[in-house]
Amino acid sequence: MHKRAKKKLLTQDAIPTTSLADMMFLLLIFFIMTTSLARVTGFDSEMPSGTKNKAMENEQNVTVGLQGGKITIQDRPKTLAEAEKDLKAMQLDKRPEKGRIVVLTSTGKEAYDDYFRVLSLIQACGGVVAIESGEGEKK
Amino acid sequence: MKKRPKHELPVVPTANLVDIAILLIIFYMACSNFVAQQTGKINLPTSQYIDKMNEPLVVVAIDEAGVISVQGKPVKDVSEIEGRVAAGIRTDAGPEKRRVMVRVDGVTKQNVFGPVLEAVVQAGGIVAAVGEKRTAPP
Repeated sequence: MHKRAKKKLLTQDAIPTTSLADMMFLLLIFFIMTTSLARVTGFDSEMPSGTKNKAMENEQNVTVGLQGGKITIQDRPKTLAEAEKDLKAMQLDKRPEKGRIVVLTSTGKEAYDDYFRVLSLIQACGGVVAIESGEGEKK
Repeated sequence: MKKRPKHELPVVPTANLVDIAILLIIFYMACSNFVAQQTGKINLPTSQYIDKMNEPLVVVAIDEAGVISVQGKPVKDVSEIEGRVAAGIRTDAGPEKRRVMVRVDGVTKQNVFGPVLEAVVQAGGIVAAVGEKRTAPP
């Protein structure tokens, strides 16, 4: 009788692992549901901070306008493909840092979709974007 | 009376199932990003001039309702953004530690996202604008 009780005590020391599989699968379902493995797409833009200063005013910066979804370069209307061609021809990526600044002007009512497209184009062509709001102040 | 043969159900071996599940969990834990990216629905803008990039640590989002959030928590005022972004990035470190992911809904107007971009720049962050890759020109 005493021996049997001792044996029973020994077997109770084992860690119960019967529910481990259930827990693992719950965790697995959680991770599958919450994880997105796709890498994000976009672009990096280090925009110059501060307001427009005298030195920048005197510079012959490229000006890209965006009004009602229409693009202008140096006040000339362009399609996105034409704008790409023009900006690539300017070889902004080969210029010194100050010469790479592209002033992006817009009215303040532009949708981010259009804005994003123009920003990404300027960035892809090697330009550094300086945002100018409708009030005429560079950011 | 003839005794009917006992039909035993085939046994599926499940002893290694837990090990497989643990391996899968480790994989998902290693690949997951736990940064809260957004509060509401965001229809990302599209462009053909973008590429794959690494995810920054700080996320600023504007959803389709115009709600601005930093790290998944809504902000009451645009002035709040600068402080919260500055706290999340390291201005003394390299460009990688200064990147701030900007997720903005495509229909958001410039008078809403403009001040947000300005706050990110003022905080010393590099704008990492997120969109969807479009292959064909519009």
